[in-house]
Amino acid sequence: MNTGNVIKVKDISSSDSGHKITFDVFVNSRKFPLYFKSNDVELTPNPEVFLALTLLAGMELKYKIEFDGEVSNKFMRAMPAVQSIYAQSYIHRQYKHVDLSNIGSRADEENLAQGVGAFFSGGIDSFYTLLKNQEEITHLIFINGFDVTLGKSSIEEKTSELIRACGKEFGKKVIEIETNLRDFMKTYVSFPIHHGSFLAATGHLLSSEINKIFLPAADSYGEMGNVGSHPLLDPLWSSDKVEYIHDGCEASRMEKLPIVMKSKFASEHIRVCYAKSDTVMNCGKCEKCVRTITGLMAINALEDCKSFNTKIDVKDILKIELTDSKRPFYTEILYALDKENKHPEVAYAISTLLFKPHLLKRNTEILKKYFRRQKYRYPKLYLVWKQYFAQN
Amino acid sequence: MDTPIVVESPILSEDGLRLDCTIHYDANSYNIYFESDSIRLNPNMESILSLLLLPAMVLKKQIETTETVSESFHSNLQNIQSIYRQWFIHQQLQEFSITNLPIRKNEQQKGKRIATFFSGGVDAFYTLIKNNSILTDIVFIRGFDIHQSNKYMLEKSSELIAKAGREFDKNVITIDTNARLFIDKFITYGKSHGAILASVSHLLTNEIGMFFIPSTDPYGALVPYGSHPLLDPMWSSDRIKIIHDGCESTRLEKLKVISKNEFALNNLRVCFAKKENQKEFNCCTCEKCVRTMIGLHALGVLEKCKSFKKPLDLKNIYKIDVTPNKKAGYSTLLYELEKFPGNEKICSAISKIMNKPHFLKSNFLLLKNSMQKYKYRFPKFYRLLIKRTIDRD
Repeated sequence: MNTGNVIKVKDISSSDSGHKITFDVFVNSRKFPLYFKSNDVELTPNPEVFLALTLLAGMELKYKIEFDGEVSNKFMRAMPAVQSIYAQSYIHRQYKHVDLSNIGSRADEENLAQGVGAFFSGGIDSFYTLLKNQEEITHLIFINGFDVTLGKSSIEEKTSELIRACGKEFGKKVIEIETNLRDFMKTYVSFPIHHGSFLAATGHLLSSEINKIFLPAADSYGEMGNVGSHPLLDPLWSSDKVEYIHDGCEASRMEKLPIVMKSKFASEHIRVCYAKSDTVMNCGKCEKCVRTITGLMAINALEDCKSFNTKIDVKDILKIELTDSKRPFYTEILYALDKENKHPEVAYAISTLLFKPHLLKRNTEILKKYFRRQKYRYPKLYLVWKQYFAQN
Repeated sequence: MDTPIVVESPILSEDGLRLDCTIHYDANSYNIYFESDSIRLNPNMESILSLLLLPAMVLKKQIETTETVSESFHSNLQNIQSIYRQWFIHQQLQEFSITNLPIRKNEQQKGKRIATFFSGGVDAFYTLIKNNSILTDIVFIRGFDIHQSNKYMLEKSSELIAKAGREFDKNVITIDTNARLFIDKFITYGKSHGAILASVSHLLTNEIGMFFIPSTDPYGALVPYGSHPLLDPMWSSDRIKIIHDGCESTRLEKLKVISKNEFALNNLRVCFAKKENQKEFNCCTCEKCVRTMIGLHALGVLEKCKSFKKPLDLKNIYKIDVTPNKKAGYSTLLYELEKFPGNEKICSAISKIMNKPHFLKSNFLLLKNSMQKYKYRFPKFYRLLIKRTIDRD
């Protein structure tokens, strides 16, 4: 690691009576002015925030990390394991462990805050975690700038209204945090890899009010692929002040749907859409919407669900580009449709989808991994690929 | 679910070294025993439940007992069952209800000692060396990975473990049990071995407060398996904390640590083959031996390693069947081997065996599940497949 290359977090300041935190992240000479803002709660600029948000960039760039402050011993003890998970899970990215010996650590302290939060986006996983842990959860945490891009004011407003309505319905305090953190993180690491650390960094800001946060699981135990947010990884982001629980792996998406649908409010307020339309919460055409709609059809709950248009076009199913990580979802939906013996045209479309080969248009990392294996088997092919197609 | 599995209260011998427990299911009865050579055993339901969980899920039966279970152990049982059910979906395991199990609250940890399971393998030695400063005991289970009928290998292994105990200055605890013979009736070792280890760990809570289970796979190559960093800690109770140790290192990284310890390097026991009349610990031809030898060769220590009596033969690499579960591990190994020059032939052999298709010869249920997608797309083909292959299930 070149000792001159460093990621520095500087000029950390708190304003608006603690409701806004601004800081600059310098990657060599490049500056990222970042902020966190919340009208609902005072934010605490714990050092864990800055380590969580810079660690992956440090591993990607092989840079050291510098910031003022000491992280808790509990948090620091987990960092080697966190780095091992990322380095091994994304071996083709050649992540290197960051030497954290320059970062101070302090003795663990007790957090007197009593609140229990859950990250909440209004999706199936969020509602499942909320319904399952309703008695324990006191706060719903929504991050504006996480999956909703900042600057799209109509969708931001709609989402904010939806989350606040959920908070009112279930008697939970809503904490809405706005941040431009993604501007920095996506520059070096893609969202599927960094989203867990993004959530962890944000959660550590809330230690004045919250001591435990649920992260709704996207995958069940049987479907684990992406480690961006994972039951092994998320708890490792815990500090002495904030504990993270990865919740919901015991149920697959098809098992979560009937539980979520039992709540009338949830069935009318689900928000899953990737398309982020300006006019509707769920477009009904993107992969996420199609996946949810077909799942609801399989459990005969689509008509009761006011969050989606009840009609689905089979062509929208066939247009989906199915990646390996999404295959288990559609296989499960197909089994469920088959069991109910309904909607054969949808079942046919899904089985066609499962047969379609996944065209690795965007996934050059998987291609690289494949070709690297051919280095010894087909050395000439490998050389051709390396010369003309391989990047970095 | 019809008649439940009935568990009689475990019986401890007078000297506290032997525990017997009778299990009744349908018209069958089975006596499971655990025998310790030195440490008093603690009879508890956590130990028996750890062992019975998978058979109950396979048989789709409830478990009936009047004995209490620790609160924290109870709180994880549902998650453990979910993991097994989802990981081994083709086995159609059924979760049983835990609401009728009586709970024991406000229990304190008694044992102060820290132990690790130790078989003499790469993972075991790595965990021992890494945690040497805090470990007090090493635990060897006779009848776990070596069949109880193989007296010669059992004795040889016991001697090895005793030697390791002296070398590293640890207490050696040997547990004799027929638990594996019982659980093998229902489910394969690959899925059940973690539960057996958990079962044994719960018996030692009089003295042991923390148990390490050496990891098999690193983080980057984790697959659904009987021992896993997600699963093992869930077997913990109020009296014992179980830690899955070693995922941060790949096999090659573990061998690098072991290669610096002469005793470990010369006393490795990795072999799966267990051929009849096998006198050496390691046959040097099975997949496990060959994989270990490749790593030692890359590190330049194979020739001085006395654990493997034969040289590494490329032909043995070509014979390896890389199952889907092993692919990630070999992929990582190949990636790491590239950093060590002079291994081109080995890398070539590994990449060839990784490209070989793996045929699902024996798992018809897995095949059946994968056939589902043909039902709508190619219905005639599907009906033909069902007729010809699935009915053999």
